[in-house]
Amino acid sequence: MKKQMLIILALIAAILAISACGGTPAAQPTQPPAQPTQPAAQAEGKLAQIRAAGKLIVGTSADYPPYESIDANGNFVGFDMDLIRAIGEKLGVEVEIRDMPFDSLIASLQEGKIDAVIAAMQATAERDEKVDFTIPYRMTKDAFIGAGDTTIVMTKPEDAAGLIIGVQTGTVQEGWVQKNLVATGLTPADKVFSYERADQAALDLASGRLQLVLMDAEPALELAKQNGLKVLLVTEKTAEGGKSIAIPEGASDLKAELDRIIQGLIDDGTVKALEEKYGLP
Amino acid sequence: MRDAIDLLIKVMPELLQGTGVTLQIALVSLALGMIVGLPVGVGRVYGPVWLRHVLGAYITLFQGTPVLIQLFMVYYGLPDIGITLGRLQAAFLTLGLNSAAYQAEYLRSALLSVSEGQMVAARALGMSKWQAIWSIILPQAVRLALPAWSNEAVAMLKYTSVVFLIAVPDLMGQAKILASRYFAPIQIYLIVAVFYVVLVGITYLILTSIERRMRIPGLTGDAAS
Amino acid sequence: MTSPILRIEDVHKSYGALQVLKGVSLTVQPREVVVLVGPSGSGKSTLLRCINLLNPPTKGRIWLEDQEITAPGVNQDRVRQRIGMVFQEFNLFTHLTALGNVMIGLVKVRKMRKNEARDLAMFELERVGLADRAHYYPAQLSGGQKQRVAIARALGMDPHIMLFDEPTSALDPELTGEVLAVMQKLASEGMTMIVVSHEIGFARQVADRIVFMEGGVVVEEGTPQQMFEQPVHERTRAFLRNITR
Repeated sequence: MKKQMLIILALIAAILAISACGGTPAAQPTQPPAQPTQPAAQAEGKLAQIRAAGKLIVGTSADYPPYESIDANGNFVGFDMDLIRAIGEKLGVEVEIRDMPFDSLIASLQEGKIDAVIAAMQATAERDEKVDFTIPYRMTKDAFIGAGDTTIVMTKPEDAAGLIIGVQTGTVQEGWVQKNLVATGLTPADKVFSYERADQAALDLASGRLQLVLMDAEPALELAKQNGLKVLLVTEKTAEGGKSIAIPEGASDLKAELDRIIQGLIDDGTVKALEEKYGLP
Repeated sequence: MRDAIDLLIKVMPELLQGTGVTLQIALVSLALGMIVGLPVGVGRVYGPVWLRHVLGAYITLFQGTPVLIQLFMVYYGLPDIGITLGRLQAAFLTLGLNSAAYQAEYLRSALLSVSEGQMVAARALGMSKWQAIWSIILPQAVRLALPAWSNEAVAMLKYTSVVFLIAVPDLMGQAKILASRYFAPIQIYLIVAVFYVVLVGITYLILTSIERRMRIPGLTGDAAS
Repeated sequence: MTSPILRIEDVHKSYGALQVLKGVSLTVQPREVVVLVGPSGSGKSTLLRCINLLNPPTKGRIWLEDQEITAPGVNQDRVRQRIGMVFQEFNLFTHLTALGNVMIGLVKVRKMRKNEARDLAMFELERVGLADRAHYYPAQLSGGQKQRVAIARALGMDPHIMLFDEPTSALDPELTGEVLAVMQKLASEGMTMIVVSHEIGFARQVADRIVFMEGGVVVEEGTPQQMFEQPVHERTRAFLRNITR
């Protein structure tokens, strides 16, 4: 058994070494984001590849209404879903949507399993090191929500200091809380909880295990309406920029084409119509 | 390789914290599982018929449903009937009761494999039924159940990884957070896999040394030494 | 002259429809050695288990000394303390050493302190000639040694009567001697004994009385001399001739 254990350890160490040497873009903050880590030639031909396949494979995390969710019939519905289908139409290709956990979207994109990500995702600097982003298709806001009978009053994000707060793993909100509340000492680390899904965090507001949840404003409004929760503050300060579509690093032709299409959909009022359809502010 | 080492250094503090939480959950759950599982296993064999049925139902319930559903029921379901447990308590309770069901079954088959003559001889000495169970049957059954119990302990270390789903920052929970922070899921999960293998290895070594220490010639299958 | 130590009156035992004992009566005097013989299935072992209430009789009464032990409300565990039993398969406690096997009843049932129990247990092991094997586990002992430990274990409880259920049947022939020697020594020390056995030599030499059972009833009883030399019943004659040949 001892020998087996050693062999297993050696095996894992070997895999670790190979995957690290293989140039997977793990934590390389010194490299400028513009410098592609994947073979540029392959990424550059992305648009052509998609057109040739006649299919755009898009990853999402369908747990975030009204942006993306799965309806009773198993269809992907929501603002992002309608938008990406409109984009597909302009591109002249079919859109295939794949559901996966939010925190594995970027990795799937890097591995080439999907062509793009639309998941109410924001173009943070860290994400930008791994992948490229289109221009934002929508500027976003975040919301702090509490239990229906909460007595907490908030006028600015920092009012969350010291309160028990829940966020979704791998989101911008988690990053903001870690950077602005935990790292500054305003909130002890053991009062911050990262959930697999935002709706599970919201469930814990009602049971009193959490005092606050910080999440994207629009699904927060929806959740608050459904579950009798109280919206305490809607703010742009915790959000970073807008929501963009993520595409493989270096796929400049795809980026140019998508940017053009997105700008077109904003200009012709399609985006606005979708916002109204889904009751987004 | 430098990158891998850099990453390792960056994530080490959080992973060590997570390891502490994982160990705590595994230990408390195993202990709770033993405290509950021992009487349940004995009751399954020596209890009155109605009790055997009740305990059988409990075991079927916990062995027959995914531990994830059990965890969600305890964590998100119990508040509906007015019982709100903290996330660690919910983890202890769920994994403890789950483990108790398995430990009870291991003990039951061990109890049944102790030869009938042992009970007869104990009763012939004037021991009561429960005295005989406690002093004669159980000490043998526990030793017979130990190898299966070791597997349970190792399995428990890995079972604990479901608790990240109720936002407990265990090793797996930390891995999820770190994986998205550094956008390096494969590397992080590989590191975490190594952590689990080391934990399992240490557990295994401790348990085999206990097994060796408790070994009695002729009882656990190995011939007289 | 003295009152009997054991009185069995019309004892029946059945398991469902199967009648194993069909009315057995037997009286045993203090210091008496009774050897029960009979073909297999005649009910000898069942009778022993009725006597120490491991399998209480379905009908009939048994008195141990002056107490009716088959009466309702009797503390059966207490009764068994006064009756030592030795099994064909030894049934030593596998997880305990020879010493531990003898000690556990002293500690758990007689509530003796550990030191006292250890001293007494060593004394009993010496009685059966196994003091030097005190720290061996059952698996490390020979069959004959195991049975001698089992006898020491029963003796430790200070029984008023000892029951032996085919104590040498599971032993290799060359190992029976040491067990029979211990039993003979016990008999000579005045222990009251009921022995189920086919050891004719032992029966002839040690028994005060031989009881022949068949089909769940006592067919005939008498001194060894009577039984071996001029049995009344043809069946007794046939059986004894068979096993003595």
